[in-house]
Amino acid sequence: MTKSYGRTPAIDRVSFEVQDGEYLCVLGPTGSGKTTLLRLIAGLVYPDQGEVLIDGKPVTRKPPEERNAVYVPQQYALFPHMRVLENVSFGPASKGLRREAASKTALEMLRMVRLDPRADAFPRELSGGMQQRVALARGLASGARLLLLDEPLGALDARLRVELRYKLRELAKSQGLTTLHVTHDQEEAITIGDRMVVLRHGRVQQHGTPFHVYQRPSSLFVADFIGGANFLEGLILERTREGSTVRLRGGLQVRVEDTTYAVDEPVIVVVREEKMSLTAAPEAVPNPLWGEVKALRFLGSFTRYEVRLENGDEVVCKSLTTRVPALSVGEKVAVSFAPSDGLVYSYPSVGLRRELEVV
Amino acid sequence: MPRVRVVGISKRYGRVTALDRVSLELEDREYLSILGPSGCGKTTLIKCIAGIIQPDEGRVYVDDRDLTGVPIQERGVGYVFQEVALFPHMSVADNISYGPRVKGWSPERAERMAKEMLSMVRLEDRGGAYSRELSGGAQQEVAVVRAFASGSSLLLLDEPLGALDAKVRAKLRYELRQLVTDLGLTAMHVTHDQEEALSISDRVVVMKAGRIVEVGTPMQLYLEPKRIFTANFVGEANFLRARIVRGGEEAILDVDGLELHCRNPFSVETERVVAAIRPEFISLEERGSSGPNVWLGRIESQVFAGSVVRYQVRLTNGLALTVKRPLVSEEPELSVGEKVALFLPVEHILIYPFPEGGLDQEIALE
Amino acid sequence: MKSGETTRTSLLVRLEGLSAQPRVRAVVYAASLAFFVILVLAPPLLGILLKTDRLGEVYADPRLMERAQSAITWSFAIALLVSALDLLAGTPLAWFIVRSKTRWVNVIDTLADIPFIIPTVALGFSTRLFWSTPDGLAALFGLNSLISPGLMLILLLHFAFSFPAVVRVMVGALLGYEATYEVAAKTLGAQPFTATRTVTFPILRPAIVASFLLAFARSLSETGATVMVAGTFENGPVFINNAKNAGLEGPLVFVSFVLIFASLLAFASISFIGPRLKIPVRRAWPTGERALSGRAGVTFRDSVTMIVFFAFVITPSLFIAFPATSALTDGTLGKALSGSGVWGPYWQSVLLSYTIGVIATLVNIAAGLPVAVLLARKRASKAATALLDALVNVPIVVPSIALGVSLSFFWTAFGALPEFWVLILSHTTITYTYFVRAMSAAIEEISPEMEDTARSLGARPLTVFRKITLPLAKYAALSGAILVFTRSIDETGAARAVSRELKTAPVLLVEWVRGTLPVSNSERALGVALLALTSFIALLVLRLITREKR
Repeated sequence: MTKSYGRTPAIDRVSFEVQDGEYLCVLGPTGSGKTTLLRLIAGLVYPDQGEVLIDGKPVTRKPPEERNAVYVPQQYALFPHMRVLENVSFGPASKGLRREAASKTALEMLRMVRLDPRADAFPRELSGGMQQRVALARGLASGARLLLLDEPLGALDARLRVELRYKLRELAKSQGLTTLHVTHDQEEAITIGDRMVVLRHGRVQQHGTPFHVYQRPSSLFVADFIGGANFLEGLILERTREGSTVRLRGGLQVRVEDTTYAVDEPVIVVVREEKMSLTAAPEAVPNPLWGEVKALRFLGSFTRYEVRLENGDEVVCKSLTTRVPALSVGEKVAVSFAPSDGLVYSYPSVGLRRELEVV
Repeated sequence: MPRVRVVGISKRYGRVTALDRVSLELEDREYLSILGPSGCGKTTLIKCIAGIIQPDEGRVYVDDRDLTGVPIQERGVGYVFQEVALFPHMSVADNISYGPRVKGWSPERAERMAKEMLSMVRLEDRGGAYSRELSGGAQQEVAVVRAFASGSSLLLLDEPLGALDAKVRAKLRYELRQLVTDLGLTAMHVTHDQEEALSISDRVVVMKAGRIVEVGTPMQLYLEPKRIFTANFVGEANFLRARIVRGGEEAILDVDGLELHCRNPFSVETERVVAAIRPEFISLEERGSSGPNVWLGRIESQVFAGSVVRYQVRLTNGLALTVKRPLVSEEPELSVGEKVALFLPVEHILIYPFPEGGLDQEIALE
Repeated sequence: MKSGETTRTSLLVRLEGLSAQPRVRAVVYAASLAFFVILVLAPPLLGILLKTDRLGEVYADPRLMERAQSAITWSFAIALLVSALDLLAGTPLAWFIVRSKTRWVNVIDTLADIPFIIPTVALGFSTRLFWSTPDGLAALFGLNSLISPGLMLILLLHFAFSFPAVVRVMVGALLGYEATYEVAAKTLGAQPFTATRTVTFPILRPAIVASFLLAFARSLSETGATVMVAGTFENGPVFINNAKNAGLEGPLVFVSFVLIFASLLAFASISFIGPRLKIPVRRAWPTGERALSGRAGVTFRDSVTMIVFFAFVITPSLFIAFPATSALTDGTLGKALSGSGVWGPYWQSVLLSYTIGVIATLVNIAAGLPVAVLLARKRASKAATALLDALVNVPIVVPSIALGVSLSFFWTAFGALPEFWVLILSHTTITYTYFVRAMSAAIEEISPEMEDTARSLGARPLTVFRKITLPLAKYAALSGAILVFTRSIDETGAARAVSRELKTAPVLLVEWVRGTLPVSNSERALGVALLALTSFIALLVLRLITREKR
């Protein structure tokens, strides 16, 4: 599908599939087109080119009320002039059910999200988390088999987001729904998606299981956007069948398992923050790199060390707080990574900074 | 001498108590975070310090000066708003020079100050731009230097990164902290994001329902939270209802039939207690292991979460525990359904008296 | 998805089904646009063009020409001056209403609407009574009259009745204003006065321009009251009125023609220049502005504002209450209710005005709703929406008497349309803008996400409109309807231009005040007051509704 507002396309030749019962996360920064994508599938806008097929049938020009897909916007859009029960029964009532039958379905859904005692309240009387649950119940009550969620947890506190994300997935799965969950939070996408699609500037960057996208990002952007990564500029020095040797800045050398690039090609070696470890025994590990601790960030379950290497490059090592040696700023350390954890990419023509930028 | 002293501040709106006798101190050049869920009163607190809201009771002292009755513009306290609030009808440079200009500085002097500030945030060539043309992160940095340019060395930040994407937020918080340090400012930063608070603060104040729950350094709050709410709000924790079988410094607990050895750092004496342990402190052992604090169970679910894997383990007594393990570890590979042994190290178990209002109420996030 | 019985009638189901078809919706929008262009927009603009051959009559007579030109120029001069003064005096009052915490705020708020509520004929009569008769203010000084009918009195009158326009718009703007900006300025060390001057007002510039334009339009357009207080002075509408009385069609055409196109031009210019005017915000004077922000400064400012408000706006407007109440007891009321003498035609006129009002309201609601939706939801291209937006303003931009002149020419040229229907059409045209504006503003406030979500949940467009859009916009719909009704009752200029045999109530009352009929002062006062009564009730209802919402 392609959809443009003005000259730049918001969605640019995007294609993908979602299986029945799947929980798919669409991940991307603000402005990547995620909301437009959802609205195209919901039928709230029509694409300039391309098609939408639901259950094998083309629905591209069908109005939203005929698509069996329900759209839940980020701000929930609960009808302020209706009580919770009326809000939730709106879907079934619009599709022709009598008031008693619609209310019955609505109460069932409210019971599932544990908000049946508040059926008489107005949306403004509820907290953010409760409003979110009502919006979900309303979507579920509509009977649609496809759930389109636009940043469903975006308006909530950080801690609440973490707690509710599992419940959200559980709810969708227990109802046997197929879900498209749009978010800018990569941790959220990785944790609850069966599969994920990474979007940038309206184009699909990569799709696959979270594990796959995380371990084998298809581009520098994906590598940076999902989890944190270190980027080391270098040149291929040597290439054999088992792997390559890369010459980093300042003459430092590392070995990687990748064999894609020819000798003398400029590349970037990407090592995930948690794959870069601080080592006490630099002789025993592959790829030892010496440097100095520049900063220490305590993140709770994780601690983050920023290390400036001898050659001037800066790397970040992230590990569980329990497994991290106690070091202080200025101390000399060695970091290392396994050759299989060093991912190699071609050096981008627009320069590294532009290649990674999110805006 | 503390730069800011808040003494017994209370604020009510009708029947809702937004702040309930809150007191705290802020030292010079300290970076203090106020952390809590929505509605806990953290924004009300800093608005009282800035003079935007008048407290019903209590006093605010800045540099030993009682600010009761002093209007906002005379307090000398800089404020960065959640919605940025850069003046839309002025260029970025004019925004920054606003403070000096309204103090009567000559336009030339004010403009020079603005130029200096712009170079501090690497926006030297964007002085003529308007705020809507800048990214969210850049806007916030401009808001910080705008407050500094007006002469304040004390800065209050109201969820400054709230409107930004998760990724941008994670990057920008370090830059923000660095900027504040470089400018030599003393700062109070309100947030609901505990990772944000922990990663950049000298100290953290945890609030809930208008009251201060706990104050401490990030490490203290994480490794030795004194209150159950803190244990749940800052990071995650498994909570187990238990009974003390043998008291004292080296206690033995009964957790629904399972025995647990632990230390008793807060000297809890009550019979009914809550034991807490963070998911990443539990280790998964070989099936054959045994010993004190080794519990048997079966893996119920396994979730890949990027750098860690989360396991839900169902114990023999029916309770469930969440365990976090790094993706790459020396420990054995596991799969759903497999029987495992969990080891709960004595030094990472915390115990608390069983809360009066019940455990669910105590840890509730809203 | 069909299960169980439906709760709706089959007619409703059919309509909902129709609403789901894009073609049906397109027809509805096209029809309402056609109504607008053909029946509302075209007649006033084209009618006058049919009579351009009469323009020569004025060129032939230099004295007539001079008189006509003077009248036109004075119309614009008065409008500009009065609007500027209203902005100056009305903004501090709006500020007071929004920011002050005293108990009197609600009283002042309601009082500020009075010149809006009272039909302008009542306003004109009351003003004249207050300033120019021995029963008015002059009695305090033992004079026959303080300010006699003429330019000065017109200025005072226009100042008073354009005042609420400024206050309403500025109150709305201040209520919607993001106070955070001002607070941010204060945290940076700005005194309240400085913050208001350098931050709030520049940001509110669109509202300032809008309120200026509204006051300008009202002053330019007003006929009935102006005629009552003009004496021998002439501005545009007064000239046209006099020309009509004298049966001089040529000058009538000339002045109408110029007024129509000059007012459109003036509007376009001010709308263009206004937002581009630069307000000086660079320098600040801390010590001076601190004093102005202080308690003494604020009290001084509020006192002056109140004095001006009460002396020049409220008292002259409400002065009619005196003779009206005495008319209740001195037998005039009995005569009025019996319908004898001049009162027979009076009640007929009142009935006519009401009938026209009701019909105009219903027509405007039906025809205006789709256009309001088009404007609010911006479904068409940006340029088309902007054009429609501008065109919808035409009926209030053009002075109503000139509009009426043009309109009557149009319809007489196109066959004998009975006078009654021409009256209906002219009243509908003049009030069209009010309903469309009120509705489109309200619909714009409703997040499009609400409607999107409703459709996504399975509701057809008609259902969405019935269950979501209308309930959320019902206050605006009601306000818009009441505004149309009262404005229609109030309308003098166009009614005067169109009427031959039939007289609407305001037209009749102008005759009572200016004409040679044997009507006593007491009878005049009562006649005007009775008309004002219904408008009062209608707008009080409006206030109650909107207050309930707030």
